[in-house]
Amino acid sequence: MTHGYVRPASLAEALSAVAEGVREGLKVTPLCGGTDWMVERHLAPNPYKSPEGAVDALPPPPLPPPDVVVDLSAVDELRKVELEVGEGGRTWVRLGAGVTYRTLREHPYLVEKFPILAAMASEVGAVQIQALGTLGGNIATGSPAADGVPVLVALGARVRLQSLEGAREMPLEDYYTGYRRSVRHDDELLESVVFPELEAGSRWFWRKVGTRRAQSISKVALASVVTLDGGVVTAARLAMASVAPTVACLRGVRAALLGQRPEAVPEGALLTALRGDIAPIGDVRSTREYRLHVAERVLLRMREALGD
Amino acid sequence: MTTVTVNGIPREVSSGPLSRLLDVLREELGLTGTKEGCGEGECGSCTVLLDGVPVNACLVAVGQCDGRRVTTVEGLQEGPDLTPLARCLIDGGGAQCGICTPGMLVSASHLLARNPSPDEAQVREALAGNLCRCTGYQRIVDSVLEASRLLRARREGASP
Repeated sequence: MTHGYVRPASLAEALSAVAEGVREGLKVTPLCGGTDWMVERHLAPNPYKSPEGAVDALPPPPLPPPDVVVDLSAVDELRKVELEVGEGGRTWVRLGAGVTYRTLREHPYLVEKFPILAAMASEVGAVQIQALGTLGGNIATGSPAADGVPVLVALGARVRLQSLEGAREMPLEDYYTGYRRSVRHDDELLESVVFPELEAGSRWFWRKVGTRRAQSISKVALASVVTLDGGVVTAARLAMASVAPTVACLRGVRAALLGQRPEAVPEGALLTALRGDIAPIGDVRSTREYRLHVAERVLLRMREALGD
Repeated sequence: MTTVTVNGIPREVSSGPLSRLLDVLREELGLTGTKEGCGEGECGSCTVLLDGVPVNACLVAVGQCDGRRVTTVEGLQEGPDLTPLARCLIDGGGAQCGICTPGMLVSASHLLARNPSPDEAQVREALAGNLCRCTGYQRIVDSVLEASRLLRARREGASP
């Protein structure tokens, strides 16, 4: 195999290129929108350098130079938006890993059925980044500050990993195993995500707190989809960015809300649950204390919004 | 070898496929209108159109442009005269030190092509990925709004 760079024109070719590289013991890097990787490549190792005296700074991720880059930008199959029929006749939507934030803001069906995706996408960088960045890249990069990941977790998304051997699917909340680490094997490509249309009675919430309105990476972001029946929470999925080594699934908060009227859950119980779900640190973008404070305020804001 | 249609002309690029589009434009093709500001996708100085859509040229590997169209600030020019948008930026004080200006022109011209009658909020969103440290933005936004009025008047055949 040629060291360096290949630009396959189909998913099958891409999977073969990845498999071949792995078989030859090469480090294979799949490349999609490039918004993160191109910066790392040209400015490394700055993006991960901890400021002097930073508390609990995360270790730098392993980033040896790749032997081969498999550029996925010409693989049209990865840009699909397809509907599937799931259990109980519920409609699920499958988005190829190469779907961009721009598509999330412009696709008529997605904008109508998933305004939470458009709301999130409109706050990623600005239009130039939104045209390049992809959902698959957001997931695969594995930054704890990802914007797309918490929203997809809130939607109950599953990810499909594909290799020449076959495909496997798992809940996105089970995908990460640690800071920028996941269950994806080297010979697998993240092919798509799939999630159901919102149930009747579901409310979505998205709040990203950054340094400014555009071009910022979150200090804290919260995405949730909560289903109410007669004012009582019957289902809830919440995920928070930038408060843990991976996007944090707020399972404790979910447990505190389930079966309750949101306004009847004591503030102390909700915040105690939250503190058990997250582990914010101080780093280049914020302090631990600020993140904790904002995380609490944003969660309480979400609860208020459920009462509207 | 990568083939990219730059400002309407097919160009063979010999730089490696992982070279930044920004570097290829400036160094190999001599199109220095596209500026490097931050080099990390934040400032928008290197904004170009890729298949008609604004992107940061510092974030695009040139190999990803094979068979595609790139339009730089040079490609916005329609003749020897300044475009109405460029004229408005100069007359309105929307161009000062000039580093952000090419990116502003590319983003704003893309907006006006899609939406000939933007309101101020729409202009600000279209330019949210273009940072300017001189003007405080108001004069740029006003210049783009003025250009939209001028272009509409021309299109409707009235005297500008």
